Amino acid sequence: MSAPYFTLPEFKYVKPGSLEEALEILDEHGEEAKIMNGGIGVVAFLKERLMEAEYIVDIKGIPELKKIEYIPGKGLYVGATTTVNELIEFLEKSPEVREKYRALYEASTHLADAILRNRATIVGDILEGLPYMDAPGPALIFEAEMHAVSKSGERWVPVDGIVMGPMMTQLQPNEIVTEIIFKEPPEGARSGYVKFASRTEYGIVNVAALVAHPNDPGKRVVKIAYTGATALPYRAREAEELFKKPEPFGKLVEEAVKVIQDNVEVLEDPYASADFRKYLMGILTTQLLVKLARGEW
Amino acid sequence: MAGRMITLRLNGQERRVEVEDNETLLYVLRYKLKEMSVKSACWKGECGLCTVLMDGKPVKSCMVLAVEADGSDIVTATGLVKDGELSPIQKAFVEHGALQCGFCTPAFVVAAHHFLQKNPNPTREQVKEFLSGLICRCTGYAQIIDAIMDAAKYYRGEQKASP
Repeated sequence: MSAPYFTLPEFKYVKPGSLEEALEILDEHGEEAKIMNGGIGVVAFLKERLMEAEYIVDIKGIPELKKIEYIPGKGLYVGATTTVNELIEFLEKSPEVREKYRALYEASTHLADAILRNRATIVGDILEGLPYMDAPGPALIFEAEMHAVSKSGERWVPVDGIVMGPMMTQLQPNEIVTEIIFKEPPEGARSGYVKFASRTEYGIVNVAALVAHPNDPGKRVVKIAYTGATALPYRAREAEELFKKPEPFGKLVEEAVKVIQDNVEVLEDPYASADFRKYLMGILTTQLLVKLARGEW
Repeated sequence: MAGRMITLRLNGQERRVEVEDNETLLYVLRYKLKEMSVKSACWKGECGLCTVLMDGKPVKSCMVLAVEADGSDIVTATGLVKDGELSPIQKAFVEHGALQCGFCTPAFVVAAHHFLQKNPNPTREQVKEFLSGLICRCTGYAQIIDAIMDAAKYYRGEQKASP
């Protein structure tokens, strides 16, 4: 059997039963060991020979990595091995939390497909590092951070900037991400997510946005983030800053879209041209921000 | 590389099989355990035709390592047949002509079985959303959706499974 995708390169599969055991393995083997979670990314990368590993470390046997907990005032904690469908089920049973994290909920229900979501994880989706992932946008507007643990310590790493490219992150080879926190959104905030994907399940432009107090310049907060359009997840901070000006919301949306379109470096590939992506960013961002401000999203 | 023995329940029967760490569940089910209702097509998680229920949830078996399935419960379309009789979802596919070449049918019926168990009162939109990870190139999906909507009555308990 040697047809493409039939085979995987050789590796040794290990499934530690505790975090200590897993950290020991990573410490010993360094770059030779790769962490596998839901496997959607790792199995595909291995099949396509884009990844090599002497050890595949399956972290699904570590009990404390499976968790979903909302702590009012702090945020929503999602364990590294919690699947996307488990998160969706939790949010559907907790309407108040779902409304707080509407953009995350909408991105989750658009992530891959309903079958893959039984294995796919939020942390895996973000760390895979391909341009068209769904979870990074909501992670950026909710100021998400990942908890990274190694034998020598632990730290919280902001999701903004954590990914440097496909399978390339700021994390060290001996670190394991145990959970991600989506921080408590500002008081009065509404959020939403739009995925534009034609001909393919991969988004050409995905927009996540959050709006609080749109008509009160003193309290107004706007956050906007993209995937699919750019090589890396993109938070439009310059555009967000504009909304501090004491001007009508609608006028600022127009200015913000222009700033985004002028400054962003967009992808150009067989799915969509750079111009089409910029056009979509303008139109989808305008619709999403205006609808969020009017309470229609 | 030395293989290792894994044990799984395949359609209610305990099976032991020697696998390599780098073999997928799809490969082992189809080529080692000869469970031919599990189809292989894209091998990269897109077409969904290798879908099986693993511990009660549909997974694309080409994206699962066989070693990960050690100790798990696997159900395929074959496992839905009881005492030689097709299950309601399988009968609904026949009645609605929800197949032409039939290659994708085993994946659709196991996935639909799981979906209707969880959601016995779906809208057409919810069925379509659920099916987005499964590809059929013959039917255009209309009859597949009809069959699933129709079979839902058995899962709601409105009609007995036997005719």
